[in-house]
Amino acid sequence: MKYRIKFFKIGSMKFIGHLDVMRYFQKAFRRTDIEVRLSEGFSPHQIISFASPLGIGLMTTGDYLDVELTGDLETDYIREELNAVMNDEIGVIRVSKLEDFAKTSMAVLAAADYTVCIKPEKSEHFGNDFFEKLQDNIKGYLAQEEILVTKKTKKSERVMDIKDNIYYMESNKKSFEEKTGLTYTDESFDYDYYKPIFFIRLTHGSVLNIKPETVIESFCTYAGVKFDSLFFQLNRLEMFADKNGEKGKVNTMNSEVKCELVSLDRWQAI
Amino acid sequence: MFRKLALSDDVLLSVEKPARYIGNEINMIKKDPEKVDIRFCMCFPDVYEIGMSHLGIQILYDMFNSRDDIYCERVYSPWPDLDKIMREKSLPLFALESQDPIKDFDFLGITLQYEMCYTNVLQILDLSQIPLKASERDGDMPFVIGGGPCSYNPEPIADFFDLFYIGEGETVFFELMDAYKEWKKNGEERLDFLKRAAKIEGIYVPSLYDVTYNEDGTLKTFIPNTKEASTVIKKQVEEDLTNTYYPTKPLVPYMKVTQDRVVLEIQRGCIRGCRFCQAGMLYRPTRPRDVEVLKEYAKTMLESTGHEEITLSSLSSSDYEDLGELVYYLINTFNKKGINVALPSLRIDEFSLDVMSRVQDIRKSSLTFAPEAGSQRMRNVINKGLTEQDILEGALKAFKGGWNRVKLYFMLGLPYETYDDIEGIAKLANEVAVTYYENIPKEKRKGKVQIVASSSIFVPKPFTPFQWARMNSKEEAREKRDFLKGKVREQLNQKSIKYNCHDTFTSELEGVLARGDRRLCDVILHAYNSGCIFDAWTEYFNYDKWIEAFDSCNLDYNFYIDREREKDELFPWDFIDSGVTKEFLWRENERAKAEAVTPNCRDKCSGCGIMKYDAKNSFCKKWIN
Repeated sequence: MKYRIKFFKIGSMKFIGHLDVMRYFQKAFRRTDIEVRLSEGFSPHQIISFASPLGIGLMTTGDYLDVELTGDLETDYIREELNAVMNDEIGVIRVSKLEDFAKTSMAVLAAADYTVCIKPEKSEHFGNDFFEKLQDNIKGYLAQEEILVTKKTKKSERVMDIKDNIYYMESNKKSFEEKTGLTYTDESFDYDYYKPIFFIRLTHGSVLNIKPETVIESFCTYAGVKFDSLFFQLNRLEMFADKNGEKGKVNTMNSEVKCELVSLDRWQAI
Repeated sequence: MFRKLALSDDVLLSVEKPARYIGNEINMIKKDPEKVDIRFCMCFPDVYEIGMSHLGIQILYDMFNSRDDIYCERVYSPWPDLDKIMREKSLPLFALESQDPIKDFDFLGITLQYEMCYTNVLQILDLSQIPLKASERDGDMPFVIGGGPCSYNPEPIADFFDLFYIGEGETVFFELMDAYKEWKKNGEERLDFLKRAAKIEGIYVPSLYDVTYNEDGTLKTFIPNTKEASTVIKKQVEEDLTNTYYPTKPLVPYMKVTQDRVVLEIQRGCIRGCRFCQAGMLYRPTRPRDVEVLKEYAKTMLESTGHEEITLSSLSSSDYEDLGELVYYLINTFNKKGINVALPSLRIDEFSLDVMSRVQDIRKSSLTFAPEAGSQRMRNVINKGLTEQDILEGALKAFKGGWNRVKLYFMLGLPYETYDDIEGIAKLANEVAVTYYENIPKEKRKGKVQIVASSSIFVPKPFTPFQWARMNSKEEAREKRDFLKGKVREQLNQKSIKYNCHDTFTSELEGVLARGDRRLCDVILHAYNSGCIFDAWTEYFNYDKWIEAFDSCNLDYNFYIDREREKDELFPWDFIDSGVTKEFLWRENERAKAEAVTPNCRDKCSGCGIMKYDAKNSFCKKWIN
């Protein structure tokens, strides 16, 4: 059976890299009696895949991995068994059972939501009115004709307009939830410490990937404040598939075929 | 509120592999530091990936934390990138668990696994903001305690430690902890604790001894300066290895570490008696663990860690009598679950080839032989009971089974070595190739046979029959290496043989430190102050700075390596009773000269002296009338 696991990775675990998170889940499964299907071959490995790697320094309360189990188990049972053998900074939020024909998270990923916060311990570096300046500029930033950023790849640098790839950008969670129609599973994130500047939904997938850092930098430039990636704490809130998604294409809210986003745990789920 | 870390995000995001410094691994012990009497920080003075792979610390971590009044935490050497930042910002070194500064602990225990870590010991102390010399530490500072194989000659680092624990950690640590609590309760002076500690068997307090030297530089006297210190320190031995501490819930790191698997220590000690091998003498008596208990441990540890691999650890696994039973149990029980059984190096025979073919991809794996010397004469000198016939027959069986890669390990610079012996290495490698080409028909060959011969430079160590020996200089070692390179090229099958040699500079310094005395403390301090750390890492080792350190301390480097020691010379480590007598070691040295082989402990007792330990299941039992 195929399952999709939504997990969080917070606090000091933000310093654990993607490969280590993979190893962490592989070992966690082996600490339970849940049997993961193994690949064929001389050195079989567990069939687990992740929606998208999360960079070092970022937290998440809405990342996904897919796993194939040999048996048909209750989703709550899987969550409880895993959480019993994991630490308090990486854990399972929800498990969903998928259709047999379901594609991997990685293949269907189309967008992601983030919280962008400031780190209070850096306040002496970014100054007093930093927070307000940023919040006040959100509307103006989005109202621009075009939002140009330089996208760097391994081979080249190109300037592109990402206006259509910013689906929502709101200064508080309430209005973001109203816009997106979702309730987020981010209880474990420390909002008392980290102060959110904005919540944002961006194109995220194998065809086009807009990094939140890129938007923050362009936004800071627009607002006329100094940008330093160390000022910000990011948290990934949710990841989505596009119901109208086609291989190799990106739909936005303004494209010919409009995107219809659904969180990964509700896509091709039973 | 998220867990508080000692280092800021800025620092952690600017260093390589921040996962080294955050702790919170699976199976990490959490205690409230306020609610314990003793805070003990265990240190492996090398980078996290190396330190976390060490079984000894895991054993002691588990043992200490089994007591409610002790919280044992861990620290490893910050990599040079973080080292630099910590110095610039005066950040105190911290323990991974609580992230609290080490200077606030009661004890800092440092395991000494190799001599080349000595400057890293100073780095740990320095970054912890603990005075480097024990004599400069006041009442509040942690007591710094050394242990592990290098503490069998603690003299070159004696100044930096308050005490040393000589021998296996499972025996008297709790006695020491209780003495500490008593001392603390009484509100006594720092020296009073050291005196209390000195009364415990196996504990050595260097500051309680006075040392004098002869004019030629050799040791004249080594005597206690207080009644509490004993003239002889007796090595600690865990006499019942089956019923003692074993970490059934070992820590599981996030990062890939060197030993990323469950480690089962099947046996301690070795029956072989190779004359160059320090571990073979230090870990006597040979004590196997009960096979049923090991099976249980394997199951529990795989369940508690989720590791996908398990391996066996001992000095000579082929000598473990229930090896077949254990290995087949592991393969049959765990292989189908996708868990790999990683075999230690085994004597090549039907059994090992059978298990290897079950757990490894033959095309990718290689066979390993450690003849250590090239000629039979030389192998007799070092008492390595492996003959050319053993090697060639083993190789033949393996070739017939489909293997075509062979690794051969040798040493250069062994005592009584001649150039013929060295040439023997090239010849032996060639013979292995000949065995392949003569016996494996062309149509069955999967390409050329690949032979990798590696040689390291022999370093004489304390408590071995070669502790009297002169060590080859790096020039001699290089000459021998070049000679051997040439000889390899002369072989008929030279195209199938690859030859590697170990760095000669490092070996030489290792030789100096291994048999050094207290005067080396200043040299090590000087080298450290001039910037030496991570000497075990070739990219950081700086030979010139070490030589400069010897010059400024007016100490002759060659005194420690470039001379054959007299039979009755007083050695800096002679105050330690390792159980194996100096008489036995000398006898073995004489037998080496005579090229006489000494049988292993299973075949005959050679009277090394270790029998005085009443160890359960020991191989000695057989020989006690």
